[in-house]
Amino acid sequence: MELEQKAAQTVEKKVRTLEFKNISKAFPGVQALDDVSFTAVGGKVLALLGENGAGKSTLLKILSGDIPCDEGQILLDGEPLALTSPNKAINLGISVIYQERQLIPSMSVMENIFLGALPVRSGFVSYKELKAQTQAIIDEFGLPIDPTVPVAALSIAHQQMVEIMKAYRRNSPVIAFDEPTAPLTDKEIDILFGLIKRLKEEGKIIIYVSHRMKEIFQITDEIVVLKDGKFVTKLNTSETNEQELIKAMVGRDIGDTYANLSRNDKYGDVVLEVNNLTTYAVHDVSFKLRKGEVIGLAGLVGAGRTEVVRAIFGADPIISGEIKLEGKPVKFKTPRDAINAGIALCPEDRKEQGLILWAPITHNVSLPVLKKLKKFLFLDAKAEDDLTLGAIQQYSIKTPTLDKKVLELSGGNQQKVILGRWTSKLVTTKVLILDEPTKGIDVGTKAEIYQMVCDFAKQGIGVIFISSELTEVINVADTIYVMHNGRITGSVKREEATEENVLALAMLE
Amino acid sequence: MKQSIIRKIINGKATLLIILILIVLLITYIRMPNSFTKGNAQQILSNLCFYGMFGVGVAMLLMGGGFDFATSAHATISTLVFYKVLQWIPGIPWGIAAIISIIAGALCGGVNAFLSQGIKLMPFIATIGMSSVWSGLAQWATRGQFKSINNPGFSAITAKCIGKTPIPWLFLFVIAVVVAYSVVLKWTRFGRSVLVCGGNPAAARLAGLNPDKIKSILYINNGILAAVGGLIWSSQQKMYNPTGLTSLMPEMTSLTAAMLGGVSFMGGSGTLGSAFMGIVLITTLSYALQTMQLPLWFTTLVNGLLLVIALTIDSFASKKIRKNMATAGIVMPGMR
Amino acid sequence: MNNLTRTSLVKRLVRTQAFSLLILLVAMILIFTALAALKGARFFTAKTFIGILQDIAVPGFLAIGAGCLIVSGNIDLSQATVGALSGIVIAIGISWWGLPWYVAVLIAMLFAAAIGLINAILINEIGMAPFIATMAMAAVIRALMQLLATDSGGALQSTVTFTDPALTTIGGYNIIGDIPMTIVIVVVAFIIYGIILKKTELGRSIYMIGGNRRAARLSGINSKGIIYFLYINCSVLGGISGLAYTARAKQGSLQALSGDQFTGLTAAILGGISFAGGSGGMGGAFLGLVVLKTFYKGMLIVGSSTYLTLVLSGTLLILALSLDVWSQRRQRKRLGI
Repeated sequence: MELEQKAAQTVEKKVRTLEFKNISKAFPGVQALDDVSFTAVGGKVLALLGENGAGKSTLLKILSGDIPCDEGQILLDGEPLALTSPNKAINLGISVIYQERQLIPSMSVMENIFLGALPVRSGFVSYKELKAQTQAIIDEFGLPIDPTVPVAALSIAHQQMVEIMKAYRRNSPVIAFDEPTAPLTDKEIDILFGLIKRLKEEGKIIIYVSHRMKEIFQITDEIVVLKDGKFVTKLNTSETNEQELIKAMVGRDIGDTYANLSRNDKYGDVVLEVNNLTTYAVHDVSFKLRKGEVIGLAGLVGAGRTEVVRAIFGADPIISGEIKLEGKPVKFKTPRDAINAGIALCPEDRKEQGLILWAPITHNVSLPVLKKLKKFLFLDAKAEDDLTLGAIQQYSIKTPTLDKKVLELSGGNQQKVILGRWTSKLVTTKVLILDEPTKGIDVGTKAEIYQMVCDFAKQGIGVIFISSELTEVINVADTIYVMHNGRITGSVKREEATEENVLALAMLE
Repeated sequence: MKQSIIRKIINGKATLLIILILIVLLITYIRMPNSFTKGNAQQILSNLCFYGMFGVGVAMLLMGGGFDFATSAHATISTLVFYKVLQWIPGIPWGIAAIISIIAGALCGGVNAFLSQGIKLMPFIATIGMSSVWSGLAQWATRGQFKSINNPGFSAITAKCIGKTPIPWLFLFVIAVVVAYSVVLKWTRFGRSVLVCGGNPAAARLAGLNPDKIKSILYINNGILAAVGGLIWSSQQKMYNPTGLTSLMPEMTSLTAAMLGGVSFMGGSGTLGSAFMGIVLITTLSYALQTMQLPLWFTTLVNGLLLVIALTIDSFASKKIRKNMATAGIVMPGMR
Repeated sequence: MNNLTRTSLVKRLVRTQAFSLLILLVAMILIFTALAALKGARFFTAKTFIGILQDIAVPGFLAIGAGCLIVSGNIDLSQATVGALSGIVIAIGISWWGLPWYVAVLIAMLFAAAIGLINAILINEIGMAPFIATMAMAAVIRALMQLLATDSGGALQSTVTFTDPALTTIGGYNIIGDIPMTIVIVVVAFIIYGIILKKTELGRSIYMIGGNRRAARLSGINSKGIIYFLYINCSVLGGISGLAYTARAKQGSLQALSGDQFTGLTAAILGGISFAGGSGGMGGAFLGLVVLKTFYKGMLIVGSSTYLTLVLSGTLLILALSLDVWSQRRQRKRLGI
C-alpha cells in the first residue's frame, strides 16, 4: 500500500509527448511527405535530418499550422491538434522559430517579445511590468540586450534571440527550431545551446532542424532521418555517427534515368573562369568551366550557389574577384551585359523571376532578343512566331496555341519556355546557367531536361547546373563543386562522386 | 554606430521640431516684431485647433498602415449634415446637430474602411475617388454656394478665449484630445496593436491580432475626427463652405506634419506628440511666411518641399531598416 | 508538321476590354437617346457628338501618358498639374515676356520634361513610392505656378490671358464644321502610341516591366532607363494637354485641367489598363475616354447638374477599380493560384 503511494508520487511529473502519426502531404507533381510517423518526447531534443526535399520544412509548416496535411494527425499528449492556422497553432502550444523573423522593427524588444500579450494593470499597459518581465527573460538568457531598444537597431543575431525569447515567453510545450544557428556567432550559439538545455530541463519538447553535423551531435538526443518524404529511421544521437547518418539520408534506387543519358565527352577550351569571387553572400569562389562541360553546383539550401551565379550574370554586385569569359576578363554591371556576352541564366524561382506570367509564350521566348526581331522599326510578328515555334518543337512544349499565357502551362512546360528563350537560334549562348531547373516538375519531364542538358553540352555550350537534389547533380554533371556557407568545400568528378561523399562536403564546416 | 542611427530615426523627433518652431518664431520676431500681437496669436491657435483634429486622425491611420485622401471631404459632408439638421429642425441645440454630423463623418470613414479592407481596393486611389464623390455631393447640395450658419452658441466655441489670454478654450479641448489619443496609443493594448498592425501585419496575425479590423476602426476614427475638425472650421468661418476645406487639403498638411514627426509612411512608428509638433511647425511656418509678407507661392513651395523632404528622409530610413531586417530574413510588407 | 498559330485575331479582339467597352458605348448611346427623348431634350444629334469629341481632346493626351505609365506598373499624379503649368508658362511667355508663341511653347515643354525627369529620379534613385512622390511634386509645381503667375506688381493672377493670332488659330482650327483639329491630333497620337506599345521593342519592354520587373531585368531589359523615358513622356504629354487647353481657352489658368487627371486615370482603368501593370492598351484607353465623356454628356443633357459630374467621376473611378480587382481575382481563381 505504502509502496504504491510512493510510486504514484514519483510519477507526478508526466513526460509530454508529441506524436506525428501517418502524416502525408502532396503538392502538384511531388509527394512531399509519405506516411511519416514518429514521436518526440519532452525533455529531449529531437533532430530532424534529411537532404533538401526530404520533407523537413513541409513537416514544420504543417506543425506550425501554415499548411494542412492531406492525411494523418499530430497529437500532443495523446490529444489530436487542430492546427488550422498559425495563430491556432501558437495557442495550442506550438512555437516554430523560422529563419524569417516575424518582428515589428520599430517597436522595442520587450513589446516584440510580449506581442499580443502585453501585461495590463487596471486596463492600462504596464510598461514597468513589461520591462521587468522582459529583463527577467533576458537575464535568464544572459544576453546584453536592452529591452527598450527598437528591434531594428539590433544585430541580426540578437534579432534571432528576440524571436527565441518570444517563444520562450509563450511557454509553449513544443518549440521547433529551423536552422537557428545560421546567423549566430560561436558565443551566441553557446548561449542558444544553454537555453535549449534549460528548456530540456523544463520538460519541453524540442525539435531541431539543422544541417550542421557538429551541432546535432552537440545538442540533440535523438535523430529522425527523412528521405524523399518518408521516415527512414530514428536513432539515439549517442549511438550513431556521421557516416551512418549520411548513409541513411541518401542511397536510393535511381533506375535507368541516368544510365540512358547520352553524354558529351569532348571538352573544349576554358569558356568561363571564376577566380576568388566574393560578394555579400559568397567568399573566395573559384572554378573553371570548359566548352561542352557540365558543372554541377551542389549544396544545401542557403549554401550560396544561386548567389554565385547571380554575381556571374551581373545581377548582383561583386566585391572582389575576377571573371574571365573565353580568356578575357569581364565586368558585368547588369544582366544585359552578361547576356550580350553570351551568358544565360534560368533563375531559381521560375515564376517570380523567370517568367512574365500573364504574357503569352511568344513574349516570354522573345524577351532577350527583341532587338533582333525588328523589321524597320517594328517587331516582326512572323519572326517572333517562328522563334516560338522553334522553341516549342525543340522542347516538345505542350500548348494548343502560340500565344497561350505561360501561367496556364504546367511547371515542366514553363521551364521549357525559359530554356527555349536562351537557346533559340537568335541567341548565342556560350554559358548556360540552370538554377534548380527541375524543381516542382514531374519525373518524365525531368528526364527530358537531363538529356537537354547533355545536348547543350554536345553543342559546345558550357553548362552550370544547380540542384538541391543530390542524385540529380552527381548523375548529370561531369564535375561537381560543393558549396557550404558561401564557400566551395570541395569538388568531385562524376565517376568518383557518391551521394555520401558529396553530402559530407555539403555539410563540411 | 548603425544601431544608434536607427534608434534616433525611430524614437521620434519631437525635440528637433520644437527647436525648429522656436527658430521660426525667433526669425519672425526679429524681422517683424510688430506681428506678435494677441490677435495673431489667437489666429494661429485657432488654426491649430482644426488642423490638430485632422492631424490626429491622419497620423493614427498612418501608424496603422493606411491613408485617407477623403478626410477633408468627410469634414465637408459632415458640416453639410450639420447645416441641414439646423435647417430642418429649427431650435435644435447645436450640440445634437453636431453629434449627428459626427455620426455622418463616422459613416464616411466606414465607407472607406469597406472599400480598402473589405473589397481590398488600393486605399490611395479609392479614397481619392471617394473624395470626389463626397465633394461633389457637398457642392451639389447647395448648388455650390456658401450658406451662412447663424448660430451664436456654435460660433462661440471658437471665439471664446481663456480670460485675457489669446488662448481659445477650444485649444485646451484639442490638446486634451491629443493627450487622450496619445494615452490610448501608448498605454492600451489596442493602441499598441495599431502600431503592430501597421509595422508588420503578418506578425500581427500570428499574434492573434486582426489588422483589417483595426484598420477599419482607424478609418472610422479618422472620419469622426474629420467631422469635428470640419465643425471647428465652420464655426470659425460662420458658414458652410462646400469647397473651402477641400482646397486647403489639410490631409496633405497632416501627412507632412506626421512624417516630420516621425510617423513612417510604411506604418508602425511615430508618436502623436511629435506629429502634433509637426502641425505646430507647419502652422507657425505659414503664419511666419505670411506676416513677413512673402508671396503666396513661397508658402506653397515651402509646404511642397517640406513634404518632399519628409518623404525622402522617410524613404531612406525605411530602406535602411528594411535592409537591416532583410539580411535577417524578414519580408517587409509593401505600402498598402 | 506543326501548324500552330496564334489564337485567331477575331477571338483575341473579342476577349479584350475594348470590345466590351464598345458594346457599353452603343448601349449607353441608346439609353441616353431614349432618356433624353423622355425629358424633351435631344441626345442623338451631331452637336452632341461633336461636343463629346471636343471634350476628349485635352484629357486624351493625359490618358495616353498615364496609360503608358500604368502599363509599366507606375503612376504619375502630377501630370495634370504639369499641364496647368504649361498653360501658365505659355500665357505668361506670350503676354508678359513678349516671346513668340513657339518659344513659349518650347519653354513649357522643357519645363514639363524636367519635371518628368525629377519624378523619375525620386522614384528610381531615391526609391520613393510613385504615388506619393508624384503627389508631392504636384504640390511643388503648384507653388511654381503661383510664383510665375505673380506679376510685377506682386499680385497673383489666377488666369493669364494672351492674344496670339497664330496660337489661337491653331488652337481653334476646325477641320470639318465644328470638329476641332486637336481631336484629330489626339486620335493620331493614340494610334501612334498604340502602335508603339504593341509593335515595337520599346512598347514590348514596357509591358514586360509591368508584368514582372525582376524577370524583365534578368532577361536584359533596361527597366530603369525605360522608366525614365516613361515619366518624361508622361509629363510632356501633360504639357501638350495644357497647350491644347490654353490654345483653345486663350488663357492660362491655375485651375486648368483640375478634373482631368481623374478622367485620364479612370479612362485608362476602364480601358483595361490594370494597375497591376502589364496589360491593356491605347485602344482600350481611348474607348474608355469616349465612354466616360459620353456618359458625362449624356447626364448633362438629361438634366443632371454639373456638381453631380464630380460625384460621378469619383464613383466611376471606384467602380472601375473594383472591376479591375474583381476580374484579377476571378482570373486567379480560374487558374487556381
